Amino acid sequence: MANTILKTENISKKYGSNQVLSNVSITLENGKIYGLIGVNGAGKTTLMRQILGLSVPTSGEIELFGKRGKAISKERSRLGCLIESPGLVLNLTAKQNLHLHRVMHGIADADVEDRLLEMVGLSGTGKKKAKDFSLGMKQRLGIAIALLTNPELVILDEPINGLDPIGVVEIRELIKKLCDEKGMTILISSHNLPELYQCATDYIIIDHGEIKEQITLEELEEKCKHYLRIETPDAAKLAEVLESKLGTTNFKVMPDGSVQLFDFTDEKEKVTDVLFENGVKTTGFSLMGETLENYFISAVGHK
Amino acid sequence: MINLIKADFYKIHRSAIYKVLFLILTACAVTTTLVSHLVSTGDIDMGTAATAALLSDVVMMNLASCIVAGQLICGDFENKLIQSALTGTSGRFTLVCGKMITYTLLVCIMTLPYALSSIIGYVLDAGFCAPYSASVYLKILFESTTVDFSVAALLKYIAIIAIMALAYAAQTAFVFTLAFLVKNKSLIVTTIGFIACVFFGMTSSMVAKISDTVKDVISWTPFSPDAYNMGNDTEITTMIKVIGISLAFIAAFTYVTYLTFRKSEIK
Repeated sequence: MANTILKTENISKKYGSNQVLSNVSITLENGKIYGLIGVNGAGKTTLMRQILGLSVPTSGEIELFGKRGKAISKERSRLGCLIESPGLVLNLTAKQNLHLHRVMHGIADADVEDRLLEMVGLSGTGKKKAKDFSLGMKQRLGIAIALLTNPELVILDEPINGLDPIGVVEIRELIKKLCDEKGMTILISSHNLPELYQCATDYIIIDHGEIKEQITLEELEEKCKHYLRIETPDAAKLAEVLESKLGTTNFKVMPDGSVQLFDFTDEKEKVTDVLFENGVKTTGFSLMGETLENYFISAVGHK
Repeated sequence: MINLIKADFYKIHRSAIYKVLFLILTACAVTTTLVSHLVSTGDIDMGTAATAALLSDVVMMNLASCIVAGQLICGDFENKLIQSALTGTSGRFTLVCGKMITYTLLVCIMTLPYALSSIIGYVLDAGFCAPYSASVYLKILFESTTVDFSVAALLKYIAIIAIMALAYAAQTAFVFTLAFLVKNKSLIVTTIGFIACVFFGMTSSMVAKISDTVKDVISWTPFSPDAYNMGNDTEITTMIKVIGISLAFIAAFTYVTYLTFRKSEIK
């Protein structure tokens, strides 16, 4: 059952005359992966920092695990985070860094260090110090630290920055696994929209400090779905040909009489040939639907 | 809070800078003790000894405290450990309290070379003098020639050493607040902190001569002569007063630090 674990109510943040967040209201439910999408300076990191208590909102309120006000300080121990760059002591090894954070959080289970290093692919780093790590390795270690407390809500700010393509896939799979197997809720920001599209279950679009839209993956897919729009005076005949000759039922007859065909979007020629051969008259034939990027651009209203 | 302190000490244990600082303080303590001995035997004159005054605890502990504050606080802002500490603990007040406890303990640990050299000197009774005023440790060495060795006297000296360590932490507590204000610029904290410490140390004795009222005010601070003039003849009430003032100063600066840090931005 979905429970609300985080709710922000009209959060605003102002630095001098610069309004960074304006009345941001979002709700996160447990067991979901939320993709926070926005251009540079949109307010993604600032929003995450308000949630984590690293910055105090100018106005508005945050409810975390059902608690508000001063009580949320304690609830923050149920969060894991990686904001911008990980908090590492550079003269320590990966395991020593994990040990440091484990002691800080009072976690008794020492085996968790090895398990997490294995999970993020850093188990072979041995005595190599964090200062000698690549950017990607540091990000992986940062993710391991974020997961150390077995948090219920993980906040990751651009976690795939600096990762190679294999690393990106591994981290994506890890994020999915954490959500599926451990029921963690994940709020993840990224510029990489296609990458986010492969793991997020919900999307929060932010621009100029304002939430433009919060939609589910299903809603986004519906909005971004590609289809062939076929206009015909005889929709019934068209439907019959699609079923009998092309073997598909993945189409929808619209109230205006047009048909939306969700298959064969890459085989337009084949469709037109079959319709012509079977005597279906068409008055319009076009490929419709948004790309993820185009949808995002239209949502934030940029040209 | 205890986890935060444990984590700090784990990090300190792995850091070279604290070890190097401790070694430097050990060398300074040994040199100061040696100078004290050589002056008493007449092998060096007071003029030559004065050049080594910079190595005494009065100067070196101020410097060491500022370096400790810079590393302990600014270092954590720089490598973003503060972020992790904040999400893992029960808020900013706990964080500030934990850091202050670590800071106080570290300053006390850093006084150990001076403490040990004065205790060893007292036990050996090799002949010492006090070429510089305002140093409790040199006073203990000097008193080895006049106070007969006894367990009671030794215990009292150990207590004085511990109280002086606390007084040093209190004298430099404002540097702790400064570190939370400046955040990730340890060099600024060390430089400003050290200059301010030396200034307070020098001017407190001078301004005390202005009037009895000023003298009374200073006597209720860790810069009071009560602290750095402690010796075998010091009464228990004076020692308790120094402890009380030092703890009150540390508590006050912990609260001031919390007030400044309560709503500040953490990058």
